[in-house]
Amino acid sequence: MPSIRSSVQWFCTLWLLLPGLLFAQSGNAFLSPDLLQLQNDASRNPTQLWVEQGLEIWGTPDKKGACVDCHKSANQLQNQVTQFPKWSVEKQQLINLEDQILACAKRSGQDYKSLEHPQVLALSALLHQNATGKTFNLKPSPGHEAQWHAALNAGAQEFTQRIGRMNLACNHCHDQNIGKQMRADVISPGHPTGFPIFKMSWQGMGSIDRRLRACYSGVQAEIPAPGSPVLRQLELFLKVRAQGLPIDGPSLRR
Amino acid sequence: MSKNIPTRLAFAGPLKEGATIEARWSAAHPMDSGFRVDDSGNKIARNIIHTVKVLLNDRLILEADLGTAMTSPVYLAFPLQVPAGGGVLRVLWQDDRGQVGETVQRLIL
Amino acid sequence: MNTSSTQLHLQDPKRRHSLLMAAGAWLSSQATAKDTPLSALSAEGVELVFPRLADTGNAVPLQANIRAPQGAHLKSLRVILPENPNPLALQLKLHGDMQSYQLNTRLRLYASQSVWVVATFSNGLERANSAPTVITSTACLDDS
Repeated sequence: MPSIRSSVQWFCTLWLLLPGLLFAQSGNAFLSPDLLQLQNDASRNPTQLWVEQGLEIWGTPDKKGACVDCHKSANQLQNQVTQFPKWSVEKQQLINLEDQILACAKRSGQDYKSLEHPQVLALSALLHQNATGKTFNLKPSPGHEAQWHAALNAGAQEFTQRIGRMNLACNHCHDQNIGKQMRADVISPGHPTGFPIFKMSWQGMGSIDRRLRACYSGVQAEIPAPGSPVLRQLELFLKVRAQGLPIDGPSLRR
Repeated sequence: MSKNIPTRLAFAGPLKEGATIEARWSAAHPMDSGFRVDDSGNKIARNIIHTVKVLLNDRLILEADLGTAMTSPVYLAFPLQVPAGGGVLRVLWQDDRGQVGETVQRLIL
Repeated sequence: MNTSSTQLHLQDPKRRHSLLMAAGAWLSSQATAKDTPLSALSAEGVELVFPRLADTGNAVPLQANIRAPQGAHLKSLRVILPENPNPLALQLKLHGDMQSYQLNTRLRLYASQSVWVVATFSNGLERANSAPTVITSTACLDDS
């Protein structure tokens, strides 16, 4: 039976979702003209190197690959991509797409170990590319609604929690100051529609886990370890906040 | 230990005999300049693609020496004239660790 | 290696050229084989497209449009970034006879500066042009 406390929490979460809805713009809308041009040119967009690598790893009916035997075409997993992060009964916490790729790969004898392994990112890039245009579809799995809601609330709480030397919470920039300029950057609402991203400052690809950890670094806070529950909770909150926005596919960021 | 470096080679322009087209080559090589440090503060050793050779129908058309100012992924786009009957463009690269790679693309008229 | 053999080596123009190429990487005012500063070379036939304001120092797109003088073709191109720790960014040697050439690449810039492109033609002529850019910095100090 839902307590008053959890109802209040749920109401607060809904309230926090409002600015995100009002500023329903993908991060790609905040790219500079040069980067946007590069983003839209498949023959020059660096993310395509990873997408093609993903296709290689996946395999085809004619060519052996790590995934094709079980999953058939990568195109068939479009809807599944929109459902992460999900509650994992096995791990008793949320898992995102990269966690799932690691688990699947391990099952088929490939232990990538890191969420940021180039092959993991390549597969993530391929799956997200195929899901371009689809909207996030986050729902609790049957029987685990309470855990899912608790995770969502925790994510919402983290979003408004002041952290770091700069003593800032996510919403200070990404809700209250959207569109304002910080030197050469224009503050976006932070909708996670473009993952995995090729970040120019990284000179490489990274998952949402890596980018969220970088946010902690950005406000000079202690950085959670990769795969920490708080990062998955934040991811869930951000994607619920972005519901209705279509996935952009792997995108460039500065 | 050979690390798989994904590359791509695409053409822009009309694939007609005698036409000048642009070949766009990129390689997802880390291109470590030797100036960066890792999380523990240790310097990451320099490892970049330092030489690229381009062969059109087995004829060397371009040799490039790359420095640490080249980005990761490396991106190089250059013109070439489509030969009669088309053919094959090969881009060969070598990095500081001695690793080599090749990107091949057919020019089909 | 004694002084006299060093002098002999330096008198050989080819050797001097390759030594200068190596030393040139350390100078902010690059010298050509004939010891002419780049700024003294004509920019005719060397057109650069380079952003005045760069998004990020990590990937600045450069386009060099080269037009060879009448009767000659392009033999080599050099891309120089004087403010970078290793200024010689790219060196191309062409084995064809293209009279007009468009190079596109992306460069990493250590700081705001002008990029220099030096073109050497089959008739021995050298031309050079430069284009300035200012690297804008991001506010997010994420050190990841």
